[in-house]
Amino acid sequence: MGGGILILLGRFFFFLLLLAITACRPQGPRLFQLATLPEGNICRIAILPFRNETEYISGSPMVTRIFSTQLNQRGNFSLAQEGDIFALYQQLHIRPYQEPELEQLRIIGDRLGVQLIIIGSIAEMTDTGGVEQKKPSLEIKVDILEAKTGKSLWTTYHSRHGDQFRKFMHFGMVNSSTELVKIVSQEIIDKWLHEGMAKCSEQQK
Amino acid sequence: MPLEDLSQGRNGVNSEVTSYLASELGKKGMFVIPQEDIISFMAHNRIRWVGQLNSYHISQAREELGADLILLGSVTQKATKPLITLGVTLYLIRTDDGQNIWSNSSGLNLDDLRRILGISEPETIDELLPLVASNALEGWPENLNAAMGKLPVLEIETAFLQPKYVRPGQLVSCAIKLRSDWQAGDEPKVIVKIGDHEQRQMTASPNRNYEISWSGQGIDGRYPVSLLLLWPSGRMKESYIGSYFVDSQPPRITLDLKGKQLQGSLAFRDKIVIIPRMLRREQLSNWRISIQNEAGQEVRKEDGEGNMPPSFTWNGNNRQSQQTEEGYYQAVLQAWDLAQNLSTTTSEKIFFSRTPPAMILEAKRDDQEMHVDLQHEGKTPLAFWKLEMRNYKGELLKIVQGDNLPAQVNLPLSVASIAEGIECQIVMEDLLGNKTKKNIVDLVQLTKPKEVLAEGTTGENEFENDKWVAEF
Repeated sequence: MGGGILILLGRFFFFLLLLAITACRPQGPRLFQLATLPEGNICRIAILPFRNETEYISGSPMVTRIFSTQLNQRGNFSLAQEGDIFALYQQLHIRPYQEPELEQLRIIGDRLGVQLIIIGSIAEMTDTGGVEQKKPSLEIKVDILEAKTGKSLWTTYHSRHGDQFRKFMHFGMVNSSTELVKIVSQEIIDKWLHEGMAKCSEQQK
Repeated sequence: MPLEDLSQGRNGVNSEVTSYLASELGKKGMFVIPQEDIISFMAHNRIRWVGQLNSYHISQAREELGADLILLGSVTQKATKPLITLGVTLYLIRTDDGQNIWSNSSGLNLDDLRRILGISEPETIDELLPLVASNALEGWPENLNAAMGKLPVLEIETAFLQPKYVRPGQLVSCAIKLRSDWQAGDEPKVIVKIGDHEQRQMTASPNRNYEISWSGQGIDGRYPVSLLLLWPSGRMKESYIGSYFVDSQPPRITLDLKGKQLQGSLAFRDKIVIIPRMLRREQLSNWRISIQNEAGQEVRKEDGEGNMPPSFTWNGNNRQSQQTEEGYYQAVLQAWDLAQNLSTTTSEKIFFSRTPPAMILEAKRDDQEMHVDLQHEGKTPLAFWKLEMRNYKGELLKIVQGDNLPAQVNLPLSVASIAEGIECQIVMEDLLGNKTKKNIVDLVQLTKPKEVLAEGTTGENEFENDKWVAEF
């Protein structure tokens, strides 16, 4: 009788533990493949300024630039210069927080000689701080568009908090937004590479 | 290049981190171009933004500064409260081909560096900087290969193509300013390619400006426009400039009216709703709707830019917000599409009436009965009428109602005392809701003379009309 209760209690605590583990486990990026990526090797990509929907003032340049560093590093892609994109935005009268229209996307794609255009938006971005010393958080959506048509091919959502990386006590936690943006970007790019986006080789460039 | 400091807002510069990185790269055996030369280069080339460079300026840096590589970057975070934090992102650009050959980013916060009892923890940004810089420079390329190709400089400085929508025969203009200079004899032909086949050479003006205008002909549709550069060597470069639309068709619009059907035409008293329906969906540049009377005079108008509202409402008032006269009106809608094709749509006739029904009442009597003859005078048919007769005590003697006139109401004198008088109340309402209400204190007084009671008349009897409130 006593043994049975112990087994029941054991099962109950095991279930609680399982629930706690699965509930806290961070989710990976959610990728929606609306169409297949263009055939052949993709080497040249333009990353347009991310649209910032938060109150984090420097959110757009920060996320855009860190995402670029990671895409360049992990996929070896040839990225269009931010200065060239900025010049085209000025020519086409696009404000940095505006999403270009289809026709403008085609002009940008053609002028920069890119096969893909990456455009994103920041839905949530906070830094360490506050009374509770909250860790940074980031939620972004990144779209891969076909430069020739402006058509959306892949859409990715990802969200992370700095304390999701805790290993023991305060160890492992991500405490700066820069690091969190870097990790989120890496996870998204790794997902893309895993799902079939091919890296670019030095010869292909 | 100086690092942009995003923590300082728009176009902030961080010279401390820039200097520190310059000294670290010097230790790696690289020759770093002095900051004064960089500042002078930026001023000479009118570079107003740090943290980014366009392809043209990258090639100029190679030419003017002799730079093989450019390190661009930004300070993404710099804060002392609540905890000291520093973040940087760096790109290394090869000036030969404008490729980013290396990039990295790093950020640290005091919480990342907590030590037992806080011993040797950094307390200032300056103490945190070496750690962040060391992390950021991790993976710095050992083998800095020469470029594989030539820098693809963005050759178009400005490009205008206008207007976006044209009617057949209307002029389309294209103006281009190119960035590159070519040696004499190596200048390319500058051509615009319209659609798939048509090509036209552009006229050159000083300072590498080129322009051309042409008449937008052909079947309706979208025409892509590209710029072609053709060098004497046979080399060719094509860049997409934009597109324009030829549109020869005016918008096709019908007007639906929501009102009451009355004797074959629409009629209203309070308001009429006019719904424009586009038979072919397209964007409008502007529109104008007016209400015209039978003489073609405009009594009311409204206009706007862009697409029309889903519906318009007219309450019978003119532009001075005064009630218009009873009669027939028409709504006239003019709409211009983006190519300025004009369409004019005229609605069916609308009858407007806010006049209360006019009535003619005649009372007679003989020895046995009192006879009341009721007639209606007005353009709008009646919806109903009601007549009540009461004695001096207010007791109901007779009530009659109907929906058309003329009619005769007879009251036997056996039920009423002529000497005490007979009060009569008549209510009439037409199909548009216009109402007339009349109260005759003593009907017996009317039995001798014939009286015509119509709109606006005053008699010795009390005559009460409803008050109509204008509401356009």
